[in-house]
Amino acid sequence: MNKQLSVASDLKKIRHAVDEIIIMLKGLQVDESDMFDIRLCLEEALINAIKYGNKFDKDLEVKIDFAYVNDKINISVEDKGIGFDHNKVPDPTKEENLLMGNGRGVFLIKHLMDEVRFNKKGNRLTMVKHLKKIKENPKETNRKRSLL
Amino acid sequence: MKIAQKQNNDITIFNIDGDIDINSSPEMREAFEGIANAKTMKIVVNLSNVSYVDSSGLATLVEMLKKTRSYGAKLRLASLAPKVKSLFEITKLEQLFDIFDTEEEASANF
Repeated sequence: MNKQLSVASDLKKIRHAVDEIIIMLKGLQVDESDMFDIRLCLEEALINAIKYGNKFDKDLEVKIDFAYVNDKINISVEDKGIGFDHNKVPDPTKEENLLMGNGRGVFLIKHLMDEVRFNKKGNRLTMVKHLKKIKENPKETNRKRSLL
Repeated sequence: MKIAQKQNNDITIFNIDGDIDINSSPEMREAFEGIANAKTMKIVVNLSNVSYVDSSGLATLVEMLKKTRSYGAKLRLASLAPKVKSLFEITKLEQLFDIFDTEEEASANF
């Protein structure tokens, strides 16, 4: 299962795009906990792409690539910005940073997803979630998988 | 998001209902401005009806904590859903906040 979406650089547009992905995850019977993590990480990635990548330029779009393969969810989020070095984001869990107003988005993505990669330029983030838990209903789950 | 405010003796209790995310955080910040301006000293934020918080929501709660600390007030969080609580653990914000299982526990021995 694959899906491509484009989102205008407007924070209010995030919800609609994320809802489209959530509907697909529900169709795959993804566990609530995994769904929470994927929703959070996708929203954080989109916020960063719109805010820091495209700098709220509504003429620039953010591209989402979604794929479900072998019980893994792969999501890439790409903006049109100049990119950034994710290694330079301060660790928000250090005592001196705990009171920081922002800077937790990338940290949460790295923590909640199983694989996180940035392209060399730093404007495309790819994150992978291994679906450990599928809701209990094997018959239905197998039926849905056979349709994919 | 719906925000209800009630008084329990000298404790002001905020009941938040809905997601705390980048779209709703300004509303929560605005609601909180009022009690910060009134220099309310004891505040409990009940999050039992909040099933989703993003990094903007966490930042807003940190901002509220900083503001209350700036005038010597105390802010406590109560009734966090497991996934929301896990975000406080992952980000180590549990070290900053006083977190209680229930509103009653948060309101006791303030």
